[in-house]
Amino acid sequence: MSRSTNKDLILDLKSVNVKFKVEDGTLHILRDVSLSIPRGSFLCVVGESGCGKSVTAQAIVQLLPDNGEISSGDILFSQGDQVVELNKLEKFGKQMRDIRGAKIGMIFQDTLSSLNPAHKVGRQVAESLLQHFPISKDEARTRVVELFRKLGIPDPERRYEAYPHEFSGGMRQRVMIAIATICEPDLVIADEPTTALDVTIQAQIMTLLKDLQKSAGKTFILITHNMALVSEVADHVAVMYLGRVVEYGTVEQVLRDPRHPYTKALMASVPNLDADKNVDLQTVDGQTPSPAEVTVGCEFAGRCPYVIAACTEKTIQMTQVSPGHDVRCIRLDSNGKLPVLIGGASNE
Amino acid sequence: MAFTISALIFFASRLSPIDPINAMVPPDMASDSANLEQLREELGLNDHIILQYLTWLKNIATGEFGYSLQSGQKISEILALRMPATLELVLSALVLSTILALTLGLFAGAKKGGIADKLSRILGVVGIAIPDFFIGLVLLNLFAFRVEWLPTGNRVAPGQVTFWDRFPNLILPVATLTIAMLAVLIRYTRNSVLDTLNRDFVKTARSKGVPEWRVLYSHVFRNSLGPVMVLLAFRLPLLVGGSILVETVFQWPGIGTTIIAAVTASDYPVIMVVSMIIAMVILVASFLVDIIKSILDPRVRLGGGN
Ligand SMILES: Nc1ncnc2c1ncn2[C@@H]1O[C@H](COP(=O)(O)OP(=O)(O)OP(=O)(O)O)[C@@H](O)[C@H]1O
Ligand code: SF4
Ligand SMILES: [Mg+2]
Repeated sequence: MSRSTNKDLILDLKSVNVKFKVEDGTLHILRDVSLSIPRGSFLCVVGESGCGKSVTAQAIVQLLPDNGEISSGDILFSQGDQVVELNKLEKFGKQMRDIRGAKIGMIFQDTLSSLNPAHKVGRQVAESLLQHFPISKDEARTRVVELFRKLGIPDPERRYEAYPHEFSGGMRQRVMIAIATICEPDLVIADEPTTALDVTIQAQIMTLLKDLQKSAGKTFILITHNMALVSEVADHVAVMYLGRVVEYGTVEQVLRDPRHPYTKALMASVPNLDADKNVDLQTVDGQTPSPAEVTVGCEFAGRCPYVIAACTEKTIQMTQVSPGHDVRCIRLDSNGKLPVLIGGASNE
Repeated sequence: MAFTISALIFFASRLSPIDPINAMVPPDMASDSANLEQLREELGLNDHIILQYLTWLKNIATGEFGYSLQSGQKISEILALRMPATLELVLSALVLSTILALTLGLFAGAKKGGIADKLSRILGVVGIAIPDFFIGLVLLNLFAFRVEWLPTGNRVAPGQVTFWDRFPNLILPVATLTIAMLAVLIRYTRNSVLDTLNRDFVKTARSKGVPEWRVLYSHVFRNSLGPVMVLLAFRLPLLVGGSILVETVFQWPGIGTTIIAAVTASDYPVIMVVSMIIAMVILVASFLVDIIKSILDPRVRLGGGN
C-alpha cells in the first residue's frame, strides 16, 4: 500500500474522476480533480453551487451516494509513515471504517438533518469514540461532556441526554463538530458547516474550528461560499468550476493575485474582503453549464471574456504560474499573466 | 369514536329489510301473529328505535350481550367459546407477519436486488394478487391433501390438550393469514428502510466508522419503524376480515365462522356484538400503535425531554 509521496502531504488527490449513473446515462461530475493538501494546513474549497465540492468531500471518505463511483484516480492519505490509497479500500470494510471518524472527521452539508432524531445527542457523539477506542461508556460520556463544554454547549451534562429536536440549529452544528472531532482525527472535512446559521453563530463556529486547527495541529478542509471567511481562516484555496479545480494556491496567491478568469470574476464580485464579515460568493455572469453536456476543452469557455478558438479544442491542463500556484487556463503568458483585454471591461 | 361506531352498527343493522323476528321463528309459527307480537314485545322490538339503541348500548357496556336469535344461547357464552380460537389465529399471524416483514423488509431494503429483496417481491405479488382464501385453499390442497403433512384445520381434536398438541392445526390457517398480511407489510418496510437510508443522519453514522450492520440496526431500522407501525394499524381491519375468510376455509371455530353463520341466519344481536368487538379491537390497536410510535420517536413522546 505504500507509495513514495511527499510525506508532508496529509491528503493527495490525483486526477480523481467521479461519475454518477442516472436514468439517461452517466454524469461525469468530477474531472481529474487533483489537490495536494499539506499536513496542518487549512484549505478552503470554493466554487459555485453544483461544481462538485460536496462530491469531492464525499469521494475522499468513500461515502458517495449509491449511484456514484470513483471511476479513476488516486486518493492518498498519509497516516504516520504509511500512505493509504483510500479509493482502493473496500467502502464499508474495516480499514476504511477505521479511518472514518478516527483519522478523518466529516461534517456534511445540511447538518440540520444530520443527527439521528431517535437517539440522544450525547450517545451519537459517544458512538464514534466507543467505535474507535477501547474505553468504557462512562469514560466516553465524560469525554463527550468535556468536548460539549469546550464547544460552548451550555449545561453539557444535561444536554448530553437531550434529543436533536430539542437543540437549536447552532447547537446541532456544535454537536456535529463534536462528532467530527471527538476522536481527534488528523483531518477534518467540513462541508459548509455554517450556511444555515445566522452570522454571529457562523463566526463563533468558525472561530471554534480555527482554534481546533491551530491548537491541535489538525488539517482542515472547509467548503464554503463565504469569501470573507476564506480570507480569514484559510491558508490554501482551491477554486472549482464544473467538476474541475481551476486554480489552486495559497490564500495570498489565489485571493490577492487571481490568475484564472473565473477566479478573477469571482474576486471582482467581492467588493472588499476585509470590510464585510459576510460576503457570499457572488454569481458570475452567465449560466452555469450542466454537467450532462459534453464539453470539449475549457468548461468556462461559454462565460469567459478571454476565450479564443483554442480554448475549446482540447482539455486544458494545469500549469504552474509560481511555486505552489496552479491555474488551468491556456491564455496565460510565460509570466503567468492573462492578456489585457482590448475594448472589453477588464477585470483588473 | 366508540359511540359513533356503535350507533353506525346499530342503525345499519336496522336498515336490513329482514325482520329479525322472521329469522328465528319456524315458518309454521309465522302465521300465528298474536304469538309473534308477544315475542316482539318481549324482545323489545316494538320500543322506540332510540330507546332500543340506548338499551342495547347499556347492555353491551355492562357485558349483557343478550341472546342469539338463532340458538337461544347467551352471546357471552358463545364469545367465551369462540374468542380464544380467533385470538390464537389472529395474534399468531400478526406476530409472525410483523416479525417476518420487518426482518425481510430490512434486508430487502438494505440490499436492493439481493435475495431478500427478490423473495419479498415474490411474496408481495402473491399476497396482493391472490385473495386470502385462495392462498388458503392452495395450501390446504398441497400440505393437507397431497402430502398429508398437516391437518386440514379444526382447532381441537379429541385428546388435544396443550397448545403444542393443537399447534399443527394452527400452521395452515396462520400461514395463510400471514402471507396475506406479509405482502404489503414487507414492501412497505423495505421502502421505508430505503427512504431512511437516504436520510442525512445515515451518512453521519457511516462517517463515524460504525459497521454497516450497526448502521442498519441502530440507525436505519428504528427510524423506519414509525411508518410501518401506522400501516400495521391500517391493516388490522384487513387481518380481522381475512380471519373471517380463513376461518371458513379451515373450519376454524372462531368469531369469523360465528359471524358468517350469524349473517346467514340474520342473527342480528350476534352480528352487532361481534361487529362492535371487532371495532373495539381495531380502536385499541390504533391506540397501541400511537404508544409504540411515541416510544420510537422522541419527538412525539408525551412530555418528552424538557
Ligand atoms: N447522487 C447524485 N446523482 C446524480 N448527480 C449528482 C448526485 N449527487 C450530486 N450530483 C451532481 O453533482 C454535481 C456536484 O454536486 P455537489 O453537491 O458536489 O455540488 P456542490 O459544489 O457541493 O454545490 P453546493 O454549493 O450547492 O453544495 C451537481 O451537478 C449535482 O447535481
Ligand atoms: S482556457 Fe480559455 S476559456 Fe478557459 S479560462 Fe482560459 S481563456 Fe477562458
Ligand atoms: Mg455541496
